[in-house]
Amino acid sequence: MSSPSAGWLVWPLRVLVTAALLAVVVVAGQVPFGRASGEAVVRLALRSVNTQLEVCRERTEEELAALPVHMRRATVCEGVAPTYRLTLRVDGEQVLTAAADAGGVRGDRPLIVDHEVRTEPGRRRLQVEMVPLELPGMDAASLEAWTDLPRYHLDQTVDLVADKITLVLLDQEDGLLKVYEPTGEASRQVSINPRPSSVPGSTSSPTVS
Amino acid sequence: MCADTDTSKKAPRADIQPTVGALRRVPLPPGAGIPYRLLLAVDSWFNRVFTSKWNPLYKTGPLSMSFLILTLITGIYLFLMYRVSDPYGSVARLDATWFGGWMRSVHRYAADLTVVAVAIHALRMFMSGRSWGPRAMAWISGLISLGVLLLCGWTGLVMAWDVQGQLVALEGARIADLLPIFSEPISRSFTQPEVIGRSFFFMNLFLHVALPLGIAVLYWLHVSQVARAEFLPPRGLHYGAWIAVLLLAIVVPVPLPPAADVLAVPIGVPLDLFYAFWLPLARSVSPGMHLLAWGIVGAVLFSVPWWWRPKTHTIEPSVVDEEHCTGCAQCYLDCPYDAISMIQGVGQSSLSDSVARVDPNVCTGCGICAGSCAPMVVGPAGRSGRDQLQVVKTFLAENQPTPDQVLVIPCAYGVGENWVAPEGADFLCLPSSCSGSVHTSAIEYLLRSGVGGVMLLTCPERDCLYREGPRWLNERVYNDREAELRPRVDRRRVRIAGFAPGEPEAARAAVEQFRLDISELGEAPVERDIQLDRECEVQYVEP
Repeated sequence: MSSPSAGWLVWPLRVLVTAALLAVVVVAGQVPFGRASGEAVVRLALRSVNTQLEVCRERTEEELAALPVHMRRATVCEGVAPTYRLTLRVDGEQVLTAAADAGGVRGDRPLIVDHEVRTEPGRRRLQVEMVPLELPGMDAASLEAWTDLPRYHLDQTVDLVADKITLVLLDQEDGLLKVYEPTGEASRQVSINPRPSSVPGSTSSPTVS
Repeated sequence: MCADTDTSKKAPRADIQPTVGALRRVPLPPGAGIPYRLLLAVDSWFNRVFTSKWNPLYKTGPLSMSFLILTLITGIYLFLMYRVSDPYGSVARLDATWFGGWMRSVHRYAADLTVVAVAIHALRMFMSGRSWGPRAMAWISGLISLGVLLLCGWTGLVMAWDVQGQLVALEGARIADLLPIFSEPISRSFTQPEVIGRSFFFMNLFLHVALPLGIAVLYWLHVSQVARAEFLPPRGLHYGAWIAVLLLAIVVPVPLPPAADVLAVPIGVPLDLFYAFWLPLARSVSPGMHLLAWGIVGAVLFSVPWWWRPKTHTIEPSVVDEEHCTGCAQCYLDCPYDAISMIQGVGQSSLSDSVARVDPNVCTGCGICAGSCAPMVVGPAGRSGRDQLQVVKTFLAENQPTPDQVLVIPCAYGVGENWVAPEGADFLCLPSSCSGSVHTSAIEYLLRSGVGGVMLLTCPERDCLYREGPRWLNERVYNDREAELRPRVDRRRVRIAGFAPGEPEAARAAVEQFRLDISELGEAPVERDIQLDRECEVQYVEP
């Protein structure tokens, strides 16, 4: 190609090249991303507070004597955050089991769970359980405190939609696991569970032990 | 001859050795040969279409500012229309009108092109070895500016709160969750309905508006080591770029993607790859791996000034013969990198109270100061005006020019060795490292010694490796800028023309035309025993 500076094709060529470059910008600015897989997604997004139990014990006489007078408190307590076990069953089949710990170095931050599970779409029975694991060597008092820790259960039949996300959340106010179902195309208008027990397939309302 | 007539062998070389040792090139980094040749090939193709005067690749830095300004102007209108209480709704209402949709499209395209221009600018600096030594700070600040620009773009995508914005927010938050910044993972906020509130969009809007201010500060830092920084491209390019974007936004408006939906798997989300290029990786690897990838890429890019530099060569900064410095400050004025300052009362000069001082950490060794110094006392080692006179004398003694011969002085970074003399024509050739460093005394000496004409083939003025070489050369030869070509020199026998490496044919034609013009002037007068350096001493030193 010779220099176009003297040719009559100069300007059409420049316009053409500029248009081609801009076309690249247009195409690269709108590249479709993400393909339909035909699978439904169950997302567990839970945030639970108060998952720490307080373990207390009495100081011995020797321990008390070793302390300055103003620090001689007979009972010492420390917060312990047990690990929670999260399980998800779909139609009775366990599809997820995971351990979850409270946040923070001392475990005094909220326990946060964020998992996604892909499964076949259709009407399915979801069973979610999140319970604390026992701490080794718990005495009676600790065991009592451990028993009082929140436990979460959900057993509900829902419609899982292909390429849509069914969301399981923990309602902070009433401490219940709730399901947000995608409702067809208008999935933005979510329905909030728990559903009434009369819903076919629903075996129980969400409960907190 | 600079080269033979076989054009197939004339690929520009990064390591060419000049025919005369004193006019040396500054070395390019090891391995720069191939990228540099690739760059020249692309430039060459663009020059054929746009000519070197209007090649947009030469002005990608200022063009990025041009696009950024267009983004800011349209952004003001979008800002006024935006509602943090109803992000997607307000954008959708805006988009429903022709003008609103047009403004949004211009905003998006201009923002995309800003990133494109910045990326090409950085790539050009890298490929031409302009990312190390004194230019390291510009490289680093440029990378940080690019990072801030991307961050600004991400907040812009999130603002609309469509499916793309939701993805950017979610995946970005997943990475942020790995860093010890937030007390709780923030990515949860983007996976649940009714969690993201007005405060989030207000903060996002604030960032989107405030970040350009950061870019302004970084721009100042970026150009702080260059004199007369070019903020905008030449008018033709500037307005041409704007018109192209404005028309593009009319012809191909940017469609508004569907609203964000936390209960939908992203399918066919229209990604803006200029900003959201990382999303495919983010969706296919864990956040930790993704963060690691960002870390590796960042480390590689930020360390370029240390690993992409000559191992055995260093830049030879200019030095000043302070004893003979007249304190005229011309080198200080001409230096394209603000590497020279005038110091009062500390020099050893008996001629002036102030002397020029070169900051070796900022000097790129271009030698432009050598061409600016009338007393010929400044320049890189072996490349001052006096050194050039010696080179010229040696060259003339070895080559014995005839009075009808044309001497071509090609800039090594312009058409350089790529210049091919017309077949059968008799030319002399003396390459220079930078046309702006050629002292007018050297030109005068050549002409008074009987050379028929001196043709200086500079690099394109808009892509000078040292920014202002052709500009100052023209000023010195034709407009009496210090150190000017003396009036006694016949300017008809001097010609300056700028050509890119990919324009050897045009350069050849220009040289041939010059030869024809010279032949009409008759033979040049030949002087013997020319004492230009002696004249210099008499004029500047002995008084």
